[in-house]
Amino acid sequence: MGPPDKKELAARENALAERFIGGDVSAFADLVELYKDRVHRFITCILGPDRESEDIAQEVFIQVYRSLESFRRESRLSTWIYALARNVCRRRLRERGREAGLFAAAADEDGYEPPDAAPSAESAFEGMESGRAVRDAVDGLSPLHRSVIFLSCWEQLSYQEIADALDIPVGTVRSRIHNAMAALAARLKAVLAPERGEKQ
Amino acid sequence: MNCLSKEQLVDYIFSGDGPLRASMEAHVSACPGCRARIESLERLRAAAASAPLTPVSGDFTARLMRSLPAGTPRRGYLREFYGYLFRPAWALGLAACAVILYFGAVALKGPGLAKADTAEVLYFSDGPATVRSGLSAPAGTAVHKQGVYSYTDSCATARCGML
Repeated sequence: MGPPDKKELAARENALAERFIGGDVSAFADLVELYKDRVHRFITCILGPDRESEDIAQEVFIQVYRSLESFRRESRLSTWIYALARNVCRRRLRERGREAGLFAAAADEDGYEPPDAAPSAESAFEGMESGRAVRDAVDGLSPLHRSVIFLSCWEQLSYQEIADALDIPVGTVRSRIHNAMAALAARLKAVLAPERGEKQ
Repeated sequence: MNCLSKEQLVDYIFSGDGPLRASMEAHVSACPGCRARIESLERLRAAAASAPLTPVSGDFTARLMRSLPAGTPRRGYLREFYGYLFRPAWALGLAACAVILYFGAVALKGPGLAKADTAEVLYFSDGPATVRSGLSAPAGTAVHKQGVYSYTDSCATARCGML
């Protein structure tokens, strides 16, 4: 399953939302089918591997079900759903008392300075085609970096859409993408280094 | 144009347009170093986009649909009306109108609008005195002068009910 085609997806999700608001409950099931894996992935980006991630995804869709009628179409449906998912995750983290550090952007924004050699670290990725290794590298990043990489690379949302989904300023989105990509490059380099060493 | 900064590299890849797009493209086409950095970042982005999603369990949708109440959720007409009436923009507008009306009325009527009536003060020939509450001078016995009622000594008797 690769990244969705943006225009096609927007048209499809709007049609499903219209049908659901018009009273067709089966359209909601189709909407869930369309989003379930992506919402689940977004949740695991924020929370990390979590036994309850599917339950949290269910909670997100229940919220979507209850609120879809009030969706004002000021943003894309996907952005709205991700914003709901973010709120549900935040509530869960608060309940668990783990919020400090995860959504406190300051530590992330100020504390991480990408290495000057970031481009060469990126070039270490050449020839790397293993989706699993990339997935592991992404999973090893911080929740903030994971979520921004998912939304920018996988979902291909714009700066503004990412800002809406994560409830952060557009300028922060830009710097966070940069930091996340540099961190991913460094992590991939670390993953690849032993493999290359073995080959030599 | 100089070589692209880190931020400009990110903009080049993740933000399709922008005021500097044309000049950045012109520079990249002429600069092998920037071109290599962009290609490298593009590959990284493609790799991140290719990371597979972990599918949820097969009965996810069925479980969810079972847990939902039957039918699409409908908001009551009254709630919808109040929801519309008290949307933030409306509420702010109403509050602004109320403030404008208040200050308009004050400007028209003068600042004394909200003041209480002037208390009666008695001045007798031997000095001021207080009046028992609930009593007032009979009509025609007091002389109003500059906001103060003055009473004659002859009126300030039990006969007039002032003392």
